[in-house]
Amino acid sequence: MIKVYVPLDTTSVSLGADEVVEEITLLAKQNNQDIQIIRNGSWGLFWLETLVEVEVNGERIAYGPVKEKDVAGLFDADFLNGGEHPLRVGDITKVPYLAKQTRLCFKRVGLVDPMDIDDYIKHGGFTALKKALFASPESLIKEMEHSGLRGRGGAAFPSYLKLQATKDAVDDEKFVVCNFDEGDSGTFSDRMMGEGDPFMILEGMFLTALAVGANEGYIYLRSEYPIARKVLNNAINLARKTGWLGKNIQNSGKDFDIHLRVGAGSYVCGEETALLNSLEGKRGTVRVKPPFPVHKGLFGKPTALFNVISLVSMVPIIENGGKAYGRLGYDRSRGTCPFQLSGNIKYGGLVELPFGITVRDIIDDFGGGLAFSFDGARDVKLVQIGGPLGYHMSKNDLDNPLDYEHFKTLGGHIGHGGIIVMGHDASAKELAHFAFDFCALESCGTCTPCRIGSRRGAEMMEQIISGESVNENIILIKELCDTLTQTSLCALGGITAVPVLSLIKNFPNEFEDRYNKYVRR
Amino acid sequence: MFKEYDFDTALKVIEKNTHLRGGLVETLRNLADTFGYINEELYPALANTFSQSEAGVLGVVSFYHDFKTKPRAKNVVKVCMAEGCYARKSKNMIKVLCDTLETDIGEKREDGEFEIEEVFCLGNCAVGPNIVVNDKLYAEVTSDNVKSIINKNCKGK
Repeated sequence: MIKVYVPLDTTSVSLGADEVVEEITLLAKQNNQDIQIIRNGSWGLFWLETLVEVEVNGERIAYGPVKEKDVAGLFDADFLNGGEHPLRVGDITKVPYLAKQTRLCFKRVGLVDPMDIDDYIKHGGFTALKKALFASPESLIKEMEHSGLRGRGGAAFPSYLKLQATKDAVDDEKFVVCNFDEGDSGTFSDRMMGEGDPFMILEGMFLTALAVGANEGYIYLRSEYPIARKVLNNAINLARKTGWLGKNIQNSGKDFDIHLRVGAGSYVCGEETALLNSLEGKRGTVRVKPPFPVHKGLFGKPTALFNVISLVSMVPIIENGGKAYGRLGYDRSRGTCPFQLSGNIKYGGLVELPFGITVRDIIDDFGGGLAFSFDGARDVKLVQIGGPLGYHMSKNDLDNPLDYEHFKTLGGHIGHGGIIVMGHDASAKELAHFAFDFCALESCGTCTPCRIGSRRGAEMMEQIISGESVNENIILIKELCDTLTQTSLCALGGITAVPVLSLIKNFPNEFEDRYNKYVRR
Repeated sequence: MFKEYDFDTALKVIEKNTHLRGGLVETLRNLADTFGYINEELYPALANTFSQSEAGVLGVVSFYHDFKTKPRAKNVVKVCMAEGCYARKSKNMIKVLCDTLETDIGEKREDGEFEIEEVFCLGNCAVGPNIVVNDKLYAEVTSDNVKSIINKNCKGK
């Protein structure tokens, strides 16, 4: 039996992976070849999707990008035995894009069968958990402190402090919540993890539960990820059946169970307190802090709430020790971060690297330049870092290293690690308008600056776009941004100013008052 | 794509979730997945099951973008409006899409055949622009191929 790997990843499926699978199955039957198709996660080299891998003598040979119409040709080239073909990539792990990465979180994504718990264990899964089941919570939190891990969802709060505070809170029940509401445009690392290695998320949640003394966990998944929903559901059921979730896990005397809940298309529910309200079945409005979720979180109980990538980062930390993890990184940003490269770029995909690499290096070394030109110009115009409410840099800023503190001094944030590259067809004014408009649409309505301010901001941007009172509006917008930053309850209103101000700062000539300039002359 | 709404099936969906802690959003989710929208006939039952007022239920329904209160069109096309797709020239494609379907973003065509829903990020940014036609996701949609994708997947015109 020959093993053939075709990803079930959303990106692969959107490019025709399901059709490729059908065609391979059909042709294998016609040629009397005995194959087993395994739907793995994506390696994150999206220009090669659909990537088909064949196991030949224990080694995996990749072909990509394969379309439905290429399959017959692959059979003619005897690809089931690794035959030559123009689409042959060879060993995928030797492709520089992948070989140059430091994959700690994503080490199994693409490699394993996400629907098979035995495959996970065979590739080193649950090693950290086995260690932790018999360790003290204090020692687990100590490892987290050594690692220097900070929240990967965007806030970059030291994870060990959150664990410590939840552990110290006294109550009859505690919760672990996994924030899988990956709403930022240009981010897909959580999705790839959920689709490619779901058991690692469960393991990370379990480690957290052991550190804080919780017996129940919730995953809050966004509704736009139907494949992740299917894979995670299967993972939870398998883990329950095989005794990795439930009562008295692996005879350790510890209990832990996980429930999957699906959101309903609200961006603000990625904010932790809004997420908790949504999990409780309420409107996803933001709560006033304090009390913090570590003291009064889900159902009013102490809750350790982490992003998917924070949770999976804990697995290698416990497995190899916090100090080993903390040796990677730059300044006060320790460890690796899965950056997600997309937009107008040739080689978009997932790039997991230690902090400190410059934006330029990622775009040039990995991205390979722009995909489309505009009026003959093929250079970067702007790069958006950290989602729709992230910093928009011009090409002069590309040498900035990706690091939490450094971006703070710029007036931005790394957020969830999304990098969107844009060419000269992108308009700074349109993007600034989009930021306000998006905030208005997604505002939960709890605090006035965000609810009203975002609308007024969008209106003023519309006026600027049509050339009306440009200078006056820009002064007002700057004041409005100040109000939003100072007085909003949560990050949605609080950082809407980041894209707007960075666009005005970095692309001043687009916000010029053309009419008045003309009159003065 | 969606089942025709009927009260008894809906009640069964609600009943199944009675034991869920804070299960109102999850129940609405299941109802939306089944029928495409939340029929207001169900508010009393939902209010009763989850110990809320009917106004409270309406408050939750109206908060989330996924919960619609009117029956959906026969074909629902979701289009990503976010920056990842914008950077890959989604603007022209969206214009062609609206022209092809003879309706606007966020609107249902009068004959109930088509509806365009705006979404923000489908997590497929590296290969955008993205649209979802009746639950099937398409990547690399351009102003040239959007028409044929619609024709292939939608009955009626």
